[in-house]
Amino acid sequence: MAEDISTIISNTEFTRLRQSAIEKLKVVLQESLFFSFRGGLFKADAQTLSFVKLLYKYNQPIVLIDTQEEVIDIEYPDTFINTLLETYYKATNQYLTDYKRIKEYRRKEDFVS
Amino acid sequence: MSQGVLLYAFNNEKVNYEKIANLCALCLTRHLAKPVSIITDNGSDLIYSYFDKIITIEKSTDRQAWRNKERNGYFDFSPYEETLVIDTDYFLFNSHYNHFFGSQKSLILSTEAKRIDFTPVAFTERRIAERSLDMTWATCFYFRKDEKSKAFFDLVDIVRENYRFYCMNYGIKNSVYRNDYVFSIARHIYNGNGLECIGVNPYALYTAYPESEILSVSDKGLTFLNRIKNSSVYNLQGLSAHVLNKVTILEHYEEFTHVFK
Repeated sequence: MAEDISTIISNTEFTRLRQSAIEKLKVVLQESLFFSFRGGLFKADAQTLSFVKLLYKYNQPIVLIDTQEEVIDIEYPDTFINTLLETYYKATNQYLTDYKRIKEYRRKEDFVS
Repeated sequence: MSQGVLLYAFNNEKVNYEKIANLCALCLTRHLAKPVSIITDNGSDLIYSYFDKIITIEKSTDRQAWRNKERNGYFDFSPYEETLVIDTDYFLFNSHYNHFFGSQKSLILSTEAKRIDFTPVAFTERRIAERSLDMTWATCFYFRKDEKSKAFFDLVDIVRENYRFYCMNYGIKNSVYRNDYVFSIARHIYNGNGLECIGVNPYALYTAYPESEILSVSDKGLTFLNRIKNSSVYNLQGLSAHVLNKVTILEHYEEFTHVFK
């Protein structure tokens, strides 16, 4: 590439870079919430978290429909809940860390480093 | 059950797909940690140590720029029981696709593509024709070797062999052969039979169209420059990217290999 990267960055608007970075964070978060369990593909979102917690509370067998419309028998609820929470915490903590970092960016170059 | 990734690379006069496949394999090894096999008709530009198996097939006399018609035989060629097939220009920068292995679905197909500015792709890329089907992308898909996936790929072959007929039936006016059209039609016919064995890829394919150039490469992802759209810069670190501009990939060949070694 003939042009220097810093020249290209200097010609780009700060707000555009910031908007794009935040938009990307949201996408990364949504992608990171997926996890697999016993052949099913689940999303560790608010709905799954609260629904599973409710079923677990009543000590009933947990059968879930995954994001692929497959019925999955959650034979070991404790393991499932651990995986669910771990996925959620990991994804949201990463989002928080990255979001705070982006908020502190003051130079355009920070967005591509 | 054996698991791995399958790539296809057929060089033509314009693009050295084997060199691009080397870079793709580097990304896959880093992020998925699964063996990568490749189907080629040459192999002279491949770095053999990057691949688990190199499957060489007969050279074609077809001189067209994109030799998509030769991307058949997924089922028979794959050395794995569970296979992720991806285009060589789709670079993975996370391990999300590992969730597909061990799936209860026989097939998982991609149905959503987005631009690198996170907006939807053009209507012509979302549907195979104006009054027809939603697009199913052949860029990235998973299959497990069983009777159901075999039936699907047999259907893919039938659509491919009678491509003009199916294009006419489904209202496709684009004269360029596209595997995406073949997959879309095959999926439609297959689902019409009530078989619920096809899953949907929950990850959108973030596509950098030819007007976008790679600005920089890191082990976390790619940063793009779109000169047409007010010289916008898009940092896609953490996301996988489908790069349609092959020239820009090859221009960054050394940078890629340096980052991943």
